[in-house]
Amino acid sequence: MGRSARIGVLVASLVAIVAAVVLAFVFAQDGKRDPVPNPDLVTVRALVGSEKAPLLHDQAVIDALAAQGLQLQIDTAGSRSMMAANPDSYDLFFPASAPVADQLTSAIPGARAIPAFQTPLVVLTFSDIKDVLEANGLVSTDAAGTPVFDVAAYLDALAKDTRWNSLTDNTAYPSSKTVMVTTTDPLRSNSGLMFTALTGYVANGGKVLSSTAQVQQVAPRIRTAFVDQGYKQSSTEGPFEDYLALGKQKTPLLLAYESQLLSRQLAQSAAVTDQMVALYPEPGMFSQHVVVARTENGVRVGELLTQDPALTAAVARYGFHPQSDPGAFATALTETGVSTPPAVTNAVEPPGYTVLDSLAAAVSPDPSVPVEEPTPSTATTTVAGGKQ
Amino acid sequence: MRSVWFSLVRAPFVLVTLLITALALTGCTLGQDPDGTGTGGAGGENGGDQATTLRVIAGSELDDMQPILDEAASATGVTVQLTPMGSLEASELVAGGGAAGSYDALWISSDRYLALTDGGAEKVVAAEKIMSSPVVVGVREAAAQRLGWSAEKPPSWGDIAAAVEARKFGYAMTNPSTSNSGFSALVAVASALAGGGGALDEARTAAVMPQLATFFTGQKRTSGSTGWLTDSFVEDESVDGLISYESSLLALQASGRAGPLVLLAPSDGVVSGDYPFALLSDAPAEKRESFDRLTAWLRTPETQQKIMEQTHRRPMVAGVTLTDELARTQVIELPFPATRPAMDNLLAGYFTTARRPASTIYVLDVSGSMAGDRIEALRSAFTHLTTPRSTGDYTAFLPREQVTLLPFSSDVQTPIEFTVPAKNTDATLAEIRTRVEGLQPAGRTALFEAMAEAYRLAGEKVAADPNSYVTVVVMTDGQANGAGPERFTQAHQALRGEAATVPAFAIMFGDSSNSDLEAIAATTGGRVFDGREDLTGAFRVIRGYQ
Repeated sequence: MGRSARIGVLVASLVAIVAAVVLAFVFAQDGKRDPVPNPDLVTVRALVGSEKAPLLHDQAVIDALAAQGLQLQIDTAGSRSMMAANPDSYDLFFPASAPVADQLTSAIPGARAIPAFQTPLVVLTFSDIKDVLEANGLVSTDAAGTPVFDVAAYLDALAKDTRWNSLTDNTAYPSSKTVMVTTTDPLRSNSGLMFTALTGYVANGGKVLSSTAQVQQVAPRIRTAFVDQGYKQSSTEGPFEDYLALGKQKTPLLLAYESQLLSRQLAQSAAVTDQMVALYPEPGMFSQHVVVARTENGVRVGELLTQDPALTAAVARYGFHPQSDPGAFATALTETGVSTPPAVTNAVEPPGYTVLDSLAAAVSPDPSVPVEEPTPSTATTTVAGGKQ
Repeated sequence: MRSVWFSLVRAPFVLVTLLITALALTGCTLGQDPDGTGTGGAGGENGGDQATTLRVIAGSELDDMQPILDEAASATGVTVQLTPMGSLEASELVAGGGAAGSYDALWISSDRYLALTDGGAEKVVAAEKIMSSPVVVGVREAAAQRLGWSAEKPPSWGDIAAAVEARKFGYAMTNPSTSNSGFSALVAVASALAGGGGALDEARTAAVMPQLATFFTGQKRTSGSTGWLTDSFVEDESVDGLISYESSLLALQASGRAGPLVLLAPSDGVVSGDYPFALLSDAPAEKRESFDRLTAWLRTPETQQKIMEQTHRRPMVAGVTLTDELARTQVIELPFPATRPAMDNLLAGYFTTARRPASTIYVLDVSGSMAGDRIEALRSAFTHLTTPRSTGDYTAFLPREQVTLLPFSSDVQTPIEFTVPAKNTDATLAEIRTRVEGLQPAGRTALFEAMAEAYRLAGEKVAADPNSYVTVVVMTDGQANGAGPERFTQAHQALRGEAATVPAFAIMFGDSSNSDLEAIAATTGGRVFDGREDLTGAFRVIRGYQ
């Protein structure tokens, strides 16, 4: 009994570790799955962040790559899993943050990093809640008219266990809940991980965290922002869908990518209402999407994604800012009449991968999560290429 | 097409899964069937292996989706076979690999249970949230008026607890270890009474136990299944409220069975289900297209509108305007515990500290026909009830619980009474087991004499400790051949106060007479369970009603 119980705990914790790093619920949005690969095209295998699956499954992307004789076969994974994957299995990796890309580039012999596009972090809310936060010093409007979310003020409010119904002039959200930004699980999803970097920067006195020792110092100040949320979803699309469908009920404040709301606006989705507002955090931070190419075919895809006009146009339509082709972004906006989002000029860099990873572990409610031990992983498999 | 890498990486998972399954088989039970009907695998059914058939483990409350699913079959060509199962049980089955080969998808109220169960997260390859329903409080209109509560101006959970403490409000709520609506309510009320700040962890859960205990003194009825609880609420007008899914309560409202109800989403928040339809990683690859087609259809605005109108659930696709009955209620979502230990800790607190201690009178047939395998089956059942198991399984007798054995054959024997202590329960549990092992079958079946005696005892128990939750369980393997049923019905009619509402749960066994047992269930507002195939299973399921 004692022995089998110990084995049970061992196995259970093993599974828990694996489970923690594996992308759990891929919320499919595009409905295009497992098309038959085209034997006439060269298959390029890619391990990508799940947020880019809809883009990479877009028919325009498939067609543009096929015109160059290529088709993508993608698996999706969070950054922890991506670090642990066997590099020989892929032609390219496509993480959603620069630290992960840097780490992959240095870990994989001969790898080449090709920055492709980016999108800033935003805090999504509703206009009446924005007004309440503005009246209480958590949001301000800058000279350009952009609503700015004050991360330092937010951490202070959390430290004081500020409740929605203790805010002045709040009829918009009369709840006794703590004023809290919903994020994904930093161990399994990049957007949640980015918010550990952002809050960690502020808690570190406005400096990029540079060591795990500093992480331990700032952890008490930022831990509440993650642990007190309770259960967190594992894919950035999950809580964003709640925001769109259920609104304030579940997510009065949501950490998201600008591209998520923007892509819905660009697609003229009925889900977006004029009550929905993106707040821009101070300081800001970008989610950088970098192709880490291991093979020649990987490099070809990376270069096409940054140079082929059809591909940069598709990238822009999904709300991302193509790094080598800013004009594509402006064109996508003009074509649909969506107003130009504010220029983010206050962005700070996330810390290096090791520090970032230890941040995720430091804010986990599960004490069994290892701080610096990426573990083997799996991911869902999808194929893009050929006729849909 | 699946990549080679995918299958290579899966190999270690198969090993881990096998280990987990082996452990589960040797040590653990998988929880209970919420309806006591047996889960009956869908695996062997015709068409289960066709690409256009999805075999789905589903929350039992989703039986109201059948008309929508019938329409889906003609619209998409995808047939869905639902097998009802409790959320925790289903999550453990899937996480442990036990669903592989039998089921393609999981459709329960939330992804949280699977994600927080060891090994569960990677068992899902894709999921689509279909609809949402919060767990709220349905209150009879007269009671709501008396208490000054309305949908527009709902009470907080604290206000409800205060009404309970003042003995002005009593309610029915399902068992939180076997029913998701019960667990959701437990999370909501515990979070709210803990102050409504962060998610429940060990410290917050421990601190809120005294307030929770007060709140649960108002729990007048509990059950492993929503269906029985609803019937019981309809019949017993002394129970003011029913805590359940908004969708179930609105359906009850529409049926008119319970008279007008006021639906209250407590102002400090609730916990909702959002029903992700999840494709399992073990499902055959060719099911993927069916999954995509079905979920895309379920998420069209037209279908979402139908789901909302027919099942009273909230749409999960933006742009569908809420019906008036849904728009009336302002819902605020409370955080859910972040880890499985935090969930288990809350459940353990409920069962060992917060809930009303159960007091059960077991009326046990030890007539001559019970000799041999039958008495052995009874002994096995009590071995189960007296053996505490892993977290999440609360079917063994619990601290503070009273257990009364009332064996009968030609005569009714002297009752044997036990109280399980708050701590160090082993000796008492062993003693109960020993007493059942010592029962010797002989004589005839004085069933109704025994039932009359059981209700005399029930009256004593209620009077001695009004906070104990008294129920009767009766197991018989033959026809009553002593006094007739009137012996019991007359004794029952003479009961007054809470004793009159004590339900009797009757277990069919051997050659028992269904009509005798149905009569007992009807007289007491109880229910009949079939123990002929699995006596231990019947005793376990009834634990959800105690």
